[in-house]
Amino acid sequence: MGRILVAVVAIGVAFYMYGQAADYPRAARRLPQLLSIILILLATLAVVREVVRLRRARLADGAAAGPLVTLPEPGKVLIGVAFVALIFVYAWAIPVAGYLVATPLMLALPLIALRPVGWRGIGITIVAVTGVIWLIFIWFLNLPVPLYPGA
Amino acid sequence: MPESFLWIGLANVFVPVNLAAIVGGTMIGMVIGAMPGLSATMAIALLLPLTFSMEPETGLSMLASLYLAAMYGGSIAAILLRTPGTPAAAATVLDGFPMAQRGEAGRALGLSLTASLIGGTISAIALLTIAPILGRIVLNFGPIEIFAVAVLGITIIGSLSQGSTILGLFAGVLGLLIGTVGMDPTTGTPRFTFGILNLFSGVEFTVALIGLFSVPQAIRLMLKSEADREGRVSSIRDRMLPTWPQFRELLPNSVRSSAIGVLTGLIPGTGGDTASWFAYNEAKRFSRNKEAFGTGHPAGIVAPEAANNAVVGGALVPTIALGIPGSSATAVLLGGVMVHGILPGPTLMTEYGDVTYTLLWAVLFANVALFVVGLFFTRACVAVTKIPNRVVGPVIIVLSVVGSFALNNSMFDVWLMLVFGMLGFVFDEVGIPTPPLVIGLILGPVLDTSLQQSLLIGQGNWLFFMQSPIAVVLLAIALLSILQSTPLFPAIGRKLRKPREASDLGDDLPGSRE
Repeated sequence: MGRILVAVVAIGVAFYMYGQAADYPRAARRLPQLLSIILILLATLAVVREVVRLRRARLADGAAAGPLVTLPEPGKVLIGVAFVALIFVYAWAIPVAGYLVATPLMLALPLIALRPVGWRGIGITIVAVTGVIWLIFIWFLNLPVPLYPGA
Repeated sequence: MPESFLWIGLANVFVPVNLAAIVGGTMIGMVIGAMPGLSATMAIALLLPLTFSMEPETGLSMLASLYLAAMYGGSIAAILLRTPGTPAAAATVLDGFPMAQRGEAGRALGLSLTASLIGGTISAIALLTIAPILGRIVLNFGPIEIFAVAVLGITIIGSLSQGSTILGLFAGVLGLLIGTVGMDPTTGTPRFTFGILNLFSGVEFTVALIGLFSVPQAIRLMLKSEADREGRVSSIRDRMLPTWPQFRELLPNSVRSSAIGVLTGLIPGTGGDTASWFAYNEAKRFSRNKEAFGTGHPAGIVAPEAANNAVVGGALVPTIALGIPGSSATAVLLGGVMVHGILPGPTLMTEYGDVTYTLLWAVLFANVALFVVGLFFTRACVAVTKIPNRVVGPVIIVLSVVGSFALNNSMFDVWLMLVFGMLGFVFDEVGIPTPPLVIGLILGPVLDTSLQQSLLIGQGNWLFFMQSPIAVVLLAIALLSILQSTPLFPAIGRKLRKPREASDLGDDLPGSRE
């Protein structure tokens, strides 16, 4: 089912890109339009194949057929969604709060919530990772990352 | 000229900073490879930004050593935890873990290290021999042939990638389409940039790589439980190096498996995992003691380990000679080349010959470094295998964010990396292969430029491509590679067989010659 969704979105994107490319000069639009058409064809084939596969599976299983979409365990979904949200918050927080505030928090939150290691392990991980990356990228390579809030 | 580059490359490898990069890359690769679930591709992608500040030959030596060492590192987790550190080490689990459980973890790792040295050295020699020859042939290629090579690259990778051909090609074409974002090479028209200045130079390939290979991996590690690490072997107490009679015994198997690895690596779209299973099956087929396989048999460790390290040299041949990466790891390595402003393609062996030949020699010397480092540090790597997945996940994210920012000192790249990370995760979850997408991203600009140049020369006539016999052959192979994986091909085969069978039958019928 997920494949069908991805293929449908790709068809939409390809149609949009085909339309956008129509305004470009001939040489500039040639390859994007050609690729858009091929992508639409391949995505359509992928949808047809997936529908046929699902139909065959349903026919083979008969009445015992399960749902079309198998959802993962709710616990895992929660961890996944929370982690993805944390990634985006971290990317947003670096220029706002600075590397030295955002990074320890990025590391601490999942480690404290999921406790894969003890408190000592959490402390060592946060200090070691923040320190080593600071040492290599910011001190050694002079990366202009804001270090503190407002920096 | 190539001969002089050969010696320049050799001299470059012995520059202390390059030797240090080889040793450093080897150590990092071994550690990352030993962590279950972390692939060589991800390791190279994460370290790419670090090499940005280095000289091209130093950075590339480091990345190539890392790639090679990660292949061996994968066997550490496979042997001790029954969890392959990299997909290429999956076959090693079958005999490596039972041997370790018998209290011979050191022997198993020593066999893996020795086989890796043999496989890696043979593949490096093959690379040093084949790549320059192929490179010389490619020098005669014009835009038509380069266009055909790019088409062949994407179709082969698409049709050989895991899952269905349609999905492989779908991912490849999507990569090519994303590769057209930015200024058009002929008219300078900004395409799909939506007024964002950062997109005018196109989608930063390295940023996409970091996102596609690191973020999905980090999310997966957070979702994994640690329960599957029950029964692991937590220490190495016995001798690692095989004795001379043991070495002699494993040599034929290592050489055969290395040849399998090199040949598998040469085929775009196949990688260490394919080679190691192929070599394992062949070792079993050639063995007089077939039933010993799966119970901790030395040949079952030697075969996959020699093969997966031999893939490195094989896969680098099309990457260096043609600028067409054969696997996701070599695609990332090619990204390392592009980070330094070096364009992939035939010029790699000429204009940038000094850098390319340094890379070729570095692959050879990285095998020696791996053997030495492996002997001293494998025991230390046991500690790495004990790090929980949920500690590694957030660390990968921090490295990805800082690394993608480091490329252009731009937060836009960080957001772009995250978008590709999410795309990669969705693709992984629904079973669409990501390597063709990456290779499409590399080949997009190559395809675009060569197509436009060809059509300019041919005055817009598409049949111009049929004037070059090389292009015709390459495009025909590309078409065949697509057709062979569709239901159409077997149907044509059946149809062709039917009349022949009918005529064979007909020959025996009385009066049929009339």
